[in-house]
Amino acid sequence: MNNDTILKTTTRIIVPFILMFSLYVLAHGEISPGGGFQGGVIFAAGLILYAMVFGIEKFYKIISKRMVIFLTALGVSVYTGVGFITMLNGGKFLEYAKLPGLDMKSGNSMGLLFIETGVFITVFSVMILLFIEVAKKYDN
Amino acid sequence: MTILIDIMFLTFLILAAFLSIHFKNLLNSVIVLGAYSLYVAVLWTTLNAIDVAFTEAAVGAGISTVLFLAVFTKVEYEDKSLVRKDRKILALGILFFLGYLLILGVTDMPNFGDPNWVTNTYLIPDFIARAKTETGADNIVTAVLGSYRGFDTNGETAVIFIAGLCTYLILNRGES
Repeated sequence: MNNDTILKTTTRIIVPFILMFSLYVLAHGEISPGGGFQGGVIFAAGLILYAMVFGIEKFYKIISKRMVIFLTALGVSVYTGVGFITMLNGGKFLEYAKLPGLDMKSGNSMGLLFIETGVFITVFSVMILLFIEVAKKYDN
Repeated sequence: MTILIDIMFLTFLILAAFLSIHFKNLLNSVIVLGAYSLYVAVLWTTLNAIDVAFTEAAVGAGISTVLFLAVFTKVEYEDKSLVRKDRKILALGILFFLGYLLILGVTDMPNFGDPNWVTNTYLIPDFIARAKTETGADNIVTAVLGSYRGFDTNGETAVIFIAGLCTYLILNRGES
């Protein structure tokens, strides 16, 4: 698989579009089908495709394993953090209208985007972590 | 017309499920399972559950197939010991009994799209009426997931995080 020109060229062209589509699914989750989970899985699928075609070593140059593990925790922290920020601002847990500097309407919209981003980060990094852990055994 | 498409995809679904068990080469089974997920995704789409179809196509047909293939680089995927010569009468009997129980359950299910069924009259009209003005999200699924059931989704995210972390720790056991 390592010297297949067609595979490498196709992957190089198609991966940016997959990643861009996943961000669209994340950002458009309020309006169209999709959201953090689906976007995260598509983002992970794009990166895994890259890792499968170009090899895990080249993949580690984009994102290290420490970084992936850090991101799994970061996603949950972003989600829970939004909840605690609203509590510090005098609201209930995850009461988006109480986000600082935002009113009822924009607070709900931005709050949904923030928590979806948290889900996105956790889902895509966990999927990549699973792939790395299985692929690592193959490399050795 | 829709019923023909439904029957076609349900037939493909059963065929894919049967083939995935029938193949002795696990690589074939996994590829057929990917096709199975794709048929399920199409069926969700015909039921207007686009969000679920999206997830099924991405996770079932995409990621899980890739993870299976990644595992096959490590393990033997053509296992001769999987070939079974004997047919167990008892197993077949239990299978038909379970199938009978499942069909009994189906008779209690509502008609497709029945507007008077309890799930369509209890909370759903309320959500449809309130979601847009209260959360500002056009997609009611996202509004329910993120706003009305935000705490649940927080827990789900934590579950994904913990599951990933446990897998990492189990696969790295014995290493410093």
